[in-house]
Amino acid sequence: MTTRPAPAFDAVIHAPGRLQICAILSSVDSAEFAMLRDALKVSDSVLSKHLKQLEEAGHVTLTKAAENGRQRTWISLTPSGRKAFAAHVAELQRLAAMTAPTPLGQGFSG
Amino acid sequence: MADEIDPREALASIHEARAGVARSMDYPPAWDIVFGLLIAAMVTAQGLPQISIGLVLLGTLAGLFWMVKWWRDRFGWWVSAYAPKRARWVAVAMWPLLLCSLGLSCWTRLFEGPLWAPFLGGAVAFVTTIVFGRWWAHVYRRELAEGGQ
Repeated sequence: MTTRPAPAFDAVIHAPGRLQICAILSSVDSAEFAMLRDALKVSDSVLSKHLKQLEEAGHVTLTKAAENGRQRTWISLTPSGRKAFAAHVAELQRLAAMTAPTPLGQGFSG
Repeated sequence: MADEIDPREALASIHEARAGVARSMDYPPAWDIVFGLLIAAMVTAQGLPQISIGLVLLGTLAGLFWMVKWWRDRFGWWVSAYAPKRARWVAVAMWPLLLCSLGLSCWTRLFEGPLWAPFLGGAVAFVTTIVFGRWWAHVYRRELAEGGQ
């Protein structure tokens, strides 16, 4: 049985690019650098900067491996990164619920 | 800071990123068939003489290693069957059937059961693996599409 994480805003995760990186990484065990770059439609250097910030915050780990004669980098969320992302999503859901538009009443239908 | 963000937009971008992973997971039926054959070989081998078990296990482990490598090369990501919250229960539900097929196979070697038992066990494992493999992929895709973690 799993418990819902306590909502907590994470400024490192929240930047649009890093939010998408974490969203992808939270769905898989690990993803390759080129896959993330293509999914986000950003350059190598932009993705590297995002990953460096996430790595410095302890949210992701980068593993380099030689495959098919070339160096490939695999990225995965750390356990604390997974928790931080889940808490951040919970916070976004809380904020979204607070700002949800009220449904129109029947008086507006006709 | 929280006042400056648009939480709905942020949630939509998370949803879209996950949906992209789900969309990318387009693999041929041959994947399931090869996986089913490898598991069936592992199960059938349990009813064979001891020397054959080692050889078959080595072959099937090499096959499984190659399958993981193929997936990682093709998609650029990997997820274990037990990682997704909802889909993992499909993987767990497969185990009783696989253990039954394994029992059928072991029956011949350990208790002098009929010769056909390991092959029936292998056939059960083959079908089980394919059916549960497709079911798992379906649940995982839906989990991603619905924004689950």
